[in-house]
Formats: sequence, C-alpha cells, structure tokens
Amino acid sequence: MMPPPLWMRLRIIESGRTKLRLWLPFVLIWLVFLLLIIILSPLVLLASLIMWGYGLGKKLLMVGPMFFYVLCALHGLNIQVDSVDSQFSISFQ
Amino acid sequence: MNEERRKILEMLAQGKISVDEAEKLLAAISQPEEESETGKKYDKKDFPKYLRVVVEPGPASRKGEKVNIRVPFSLLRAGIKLASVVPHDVQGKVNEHLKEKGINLDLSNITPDNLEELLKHLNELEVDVDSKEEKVRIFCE
Repeated sequence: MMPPPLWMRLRIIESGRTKLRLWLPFVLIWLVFLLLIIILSPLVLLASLIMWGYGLGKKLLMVGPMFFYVLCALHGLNIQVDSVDSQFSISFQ
Repeated sequence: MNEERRKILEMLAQGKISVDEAEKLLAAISQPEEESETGKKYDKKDFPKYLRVVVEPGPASRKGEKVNIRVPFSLLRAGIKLASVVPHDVQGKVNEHLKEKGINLDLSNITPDNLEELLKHLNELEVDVDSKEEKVRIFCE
C-alpha cells in the first residue's frame, strides 16, 4: 500500500491574479482522522453490532479503513489545467 | 522443479548455453511475483502506475488550453474496494443512474482480479487524437 500523501498543493489563478495558493500539510488531516476514529469508534462498534443481523455490521466496520485506503491512494494524483489567463492545479505528494 | 527451469538445465547439459547464460535465465524466471487473492500470479513490473491524459493546443487553437492529468491506478483499486462495502441496494441505485447516463456497467461485477487483469493490459494503451484545435494523448506509465 502506498504511504498517505504528505502535502496537498492547490493553486487557482484567474485573469492573471492568484486567487488561491494553498499548501496543506496532510499530517493535519491524519490527526483529525485519528481524532475522529477515537471519538466515533465506540459508536461505530455499537452501530455495527446492531446492524450485524441485517448483514451491514461488517461493512460498517470497514468504512473507516477504506477511507484511509482511499486517502493513501491519492498519493501522486496531479491535475493541471492551464488556459491563456487562468490556471488550476491540484496535486497530492 | 518447473518446466522452464528443467529446460534451462537441459540446455546447459547439452552445451547449448554457458553457465553464465543459464544463471541469468534462472534469475530471470525466479523474479518475485505478486500473488492475488485468488492465487493468480502477476508480475509487479507488468502494471502501469499512472493513467496520463495530456491535452495540448493545436495550431488553430484559440483558447490555448493545456490539460495535464496524472491519476494513480491505486486510486482506481481503492475505489473498487470502497464500492465493495457499499450496500447492495445503494449499488443498485448507482447502477440505475449510470444506465440513465448511458453507462451500462455493474460495479459489483468488477472483482480485484478482473481489475488486475485489466490494468495489466492497459500497459499497452495509447490513444492519440490530433486535430487543428487540440492534441489529446491518453497513455499509461
């Protein structure tokens, strides 16, 4: 599995002027994600136990790790669109 | 002992290849392979890592738009895995909406093995579209 991205870089330039230039350290998102897991894990466990009989318990338990897997898979994504007077780029490194 | 290894040793015994050549061939066939969930073996080197879409302006382009997209295939794998945890009735609704848009695709039918097979063959994919307005290249790397 790929390591999760460390940085997200977002840049929007319109009519030659920089509208947004953002370097977001993904470490902050990991921390928020970890905090959410700690807070929500008892609720998710309870909900999965209730839903187990309906066949949804296992799927509910898998949602958190799956989102983390998607987050890791973003590593290397790069989208760049340039026109004469505007630019948009987003990349995960 | 597998068939390939036996053939190499036979060729060495018959003097058709040298010891060095035999060593190289044996090393080549014993490279690590990735085993999938159902037991099929895939060589990691066969798989492309990224899907690239590059659009460049052609000679008659007015807007001069350039597009450069690099999508990691791991994102596609993650998407397929994420789709597997979506409840069946929701998957049905997604499939219905895709059908309405003209895409007749049942996402639940795509297994990780199907995907690996597809990705392996995508290695040779290359689409080039040249027009006066723009040049489009889609390829894997």
